[in-house]
Parts: sequence; structure tokens; C-alpha cells
Amino acid sequence: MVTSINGNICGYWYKDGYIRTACKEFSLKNVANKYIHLTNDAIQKSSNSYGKYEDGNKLSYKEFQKHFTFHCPGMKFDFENNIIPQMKKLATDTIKATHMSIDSKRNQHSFELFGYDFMVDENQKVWLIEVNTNP
Amino acid sequence: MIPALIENVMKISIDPIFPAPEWSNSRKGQIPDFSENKFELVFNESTDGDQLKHILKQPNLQDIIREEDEQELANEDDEDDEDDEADDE
Repeated sequence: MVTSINGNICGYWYKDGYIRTACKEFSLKNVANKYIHLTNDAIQKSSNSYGKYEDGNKLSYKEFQKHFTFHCPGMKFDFENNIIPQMKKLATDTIKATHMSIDSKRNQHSFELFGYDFMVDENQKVWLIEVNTNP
Repeated sequence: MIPALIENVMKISIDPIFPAPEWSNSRKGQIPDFSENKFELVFNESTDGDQLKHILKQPNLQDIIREEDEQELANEDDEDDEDDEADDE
């Protein structure tokens, strides 16, 4: 969230969030299949497999960690101490980079809530996909 | 998660601007709020802004930005050329 109060911009990171999942297994062999890589509800809800693996194709941070701890113990996946700090750093960088122009008219007392979309690759590196208003 | 998020948004962005008036008998306003706000301040322009302005003024960074601008312009030119070619066809 970004607030603009008395002409001063502040950026806040929200400590909670959720994981959106695809209901078809990812493969580079058929990227035309939107169900394997577009996790938006608008897309996934049209699939017969929507909700088959996760309720509403969503996982909490805790559920996501539990999945890796149980199924992939060798990966030493640590969502709280490795993934979240990367997401927070990326989000902070976007605010630092845009704070001069994000509210150029310096409207008195305003705020905006942003939704940040991230992906995590096989090396546990976090990538920022996009930032949206009205999440 | 969403209702808690909205509550936390209001506490930071709205409540300080519209505090309960002194004559208010609202009990909610009299009870200290001990609930956790999951928002964490990561950027404050009044303390972090000056350092960033200094960084953005660095000559080498301005070169990088200029190069990217030129790259974007070049890409736009390419797109225009493609449009022209499409029009010719």
C-alpha cells in the first residue's frame, strides 16, 4: 500500500498473501494451453479441474510451505526466510523507483492498494511479474 | 485474509485523518487497539527520499536511463516501420 499524506509518500508491505495455482501441470511443450500457466481465477474457473487440487486454486503461505516440507524435503524450501524477503525487496524497489511520479500532483491525503504478482522459479528465485491497482 | 487486510488498510490510511471527535461516546474509540497490523513500513519519503534523489542524480545512472530511453525509441521506430510496411501491403 502506498499512502500520500501531507505531501509525503509512504510504502507499506503486507505480511500476508496467497498462492494461486494452475490446475494443469506446467510444461513448455504446450504453452498454448492457458490452464498450465495463467493462474487468474477468470481463466482457471473455466477448467473442469478448477478446485480439484486446492480449494479455489489457492494456498495460504503456510499450506504452500507445508507442501514443500512434506513432498520435497531435499529442496530445503523456506518460504518465510527466503521467498518472502525477496518479494518484499522487489516491492520496496518498485516504490523507491516510482515514488517521485506515482502521485505527481501530490494529492492531499490519498492512498492506493496494489496487488503484486510474483513467480518463483526452480532455483527459488522470485520474479516480479506485474503490479496492479484494484487487486 | 481480505477482511483483515481491508481493516488494516483503513487503520493506516483513513483513521489518522478522521479520528473520533472528542465529544464522541463511541466505545470503540476508547478501547486501545492491541490487534496486530500486518502492514510494515518499508519506505518513507521523508527519510528515504533524499538518498534516492542523490542516487538518481548520479551521472552513470543517468546514462543508463538514457540508453534505455533510446532503446525504447528504437523499438518504437521498428514498430512504426512494421506498421508502414503493413500499410504498404
